[in-house]
Amino acid sequence: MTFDSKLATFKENMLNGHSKITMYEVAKRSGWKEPAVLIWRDAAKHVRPSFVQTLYKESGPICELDFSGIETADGSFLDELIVTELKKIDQGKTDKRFMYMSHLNDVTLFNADLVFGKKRPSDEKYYMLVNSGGGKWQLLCEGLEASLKETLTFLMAEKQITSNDVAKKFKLSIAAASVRLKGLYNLRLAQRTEETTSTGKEFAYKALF
Amino acid sequence: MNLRTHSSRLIDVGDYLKDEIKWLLFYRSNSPTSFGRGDRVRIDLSKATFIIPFCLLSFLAYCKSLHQRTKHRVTLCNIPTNPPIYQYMERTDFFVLASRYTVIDGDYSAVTLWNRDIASQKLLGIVEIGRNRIDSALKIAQTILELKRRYDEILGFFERTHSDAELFFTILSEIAANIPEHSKSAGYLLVQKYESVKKGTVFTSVSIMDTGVGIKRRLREQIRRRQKKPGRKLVKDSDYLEFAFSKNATRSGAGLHSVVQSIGRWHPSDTALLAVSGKAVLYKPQGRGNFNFSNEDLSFAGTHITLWFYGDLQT
Repeated sequence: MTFDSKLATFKENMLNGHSKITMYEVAKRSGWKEPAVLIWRDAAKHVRPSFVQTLYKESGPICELDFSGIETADGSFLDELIVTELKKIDQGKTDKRFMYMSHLNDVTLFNADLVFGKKRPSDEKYYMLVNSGGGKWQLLCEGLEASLKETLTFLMAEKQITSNDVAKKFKLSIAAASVRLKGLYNLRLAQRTEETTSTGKEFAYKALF
Repeated sequence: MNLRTHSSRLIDVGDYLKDEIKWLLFYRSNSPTSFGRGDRVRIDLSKATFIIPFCLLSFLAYCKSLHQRTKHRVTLCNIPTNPPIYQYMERTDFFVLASRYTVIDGDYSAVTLWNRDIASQKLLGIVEIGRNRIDSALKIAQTILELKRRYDEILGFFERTHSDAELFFTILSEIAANIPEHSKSAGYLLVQKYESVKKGTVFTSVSIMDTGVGIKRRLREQIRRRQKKPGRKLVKDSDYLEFAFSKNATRSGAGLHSVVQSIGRWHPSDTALLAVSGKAVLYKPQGRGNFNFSNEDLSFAGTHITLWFYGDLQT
């Protein structure tokens, strides 16, 4: 990839807010000699500078973590690299990023399920959406409130919704619908943008993919 | 049998290297701690007829411990060539890894060694996992890729019956990760496939061991530093081993707990597990057996975990 095409991709990512982070490339760029096998916390620490650089400096707010070419990523690696970053985001230590995973093989999906489903101290929860392909998706980490889950399902089907849409769909007040959507936003499961309408300003919530 | 002659001792390992329990009992009665600085140790292997991966790794660690205690290299003598004990040990790279701790008494230059490319594809030589975490992680990553390259030969029988046989690599990685992360010592990994035409069965054995501080001491430190919360009082070695395999012992849901989870995904009759650390033994037999934790009269330094994956021999 030439510098010009990299710059063009970067600009495009920033404009539409959606970026693809290829984990194989991130690992390779970090100097990790076997980028198809991502195991152990130690390897994650080695890869982190490259991941952080890509995540915050070369990507827009919505980031697809593409696991194409990864043969094995174990739980320790995923926890150390991704959950650690989600913690920092939730604590407001870094810019907000909305990550989801794609192209996971069976074993990496199994490991990710274990890691994100882990019961953590103080009831911390780290939800992660997985693009399973063919319009299907999966949420890792159990325990999402039923009301949020049905709203997420609605959002994933419609791709973009507002409080009005949720209120109509589930016969709720606008305020209650807003609370639901804000809940998804806070959990990094939906991106939002402020839009001006004939009745004033309102948030439009976008599905991550 | 031990014969004490001044500072020179001859140890006859008999045929104990073919059976985990017999070897552990031998280990207890000939513990490296019973040797002192300056002792000269000769180990007689003349009665050995078969060596299983668990015992080979343990024997390597045993020689290492003896060397550390006595400050002399251990002499290995009367290594049989028929049955091919010498050839097997050479093929697994035992002699290369043990060269720092052992010397071989005898001339084996005329022995025809196993062909590494054809005749012994069913095993992966011993992989040494050092204390450097990055190097070790890389070595295990390379081992995983090597096993994937030779998957059909070593584990192909498993894939035919399980779509998620890839979990094998997660198990291998999670167990091996314990070595540099917790043992404070080097460790070893050995993978070997066995076929019994007579019984129509095939299985692959994965052994991983270290000679480190053991699970009890490691967890005690972590509990004292409040990095782990056991939720109940841990007294016996087996309590610590049980805790190490439990959900609460892991930060991420990974670790040894994921080994239990992964095994749970397969049909239980296809796997067996043996873990030994200190006096504690965990055994999950082939079949619908549970995970049984017990305390035995053992003194096994470090931690040793062996898994067996069973299948039917395709004819």
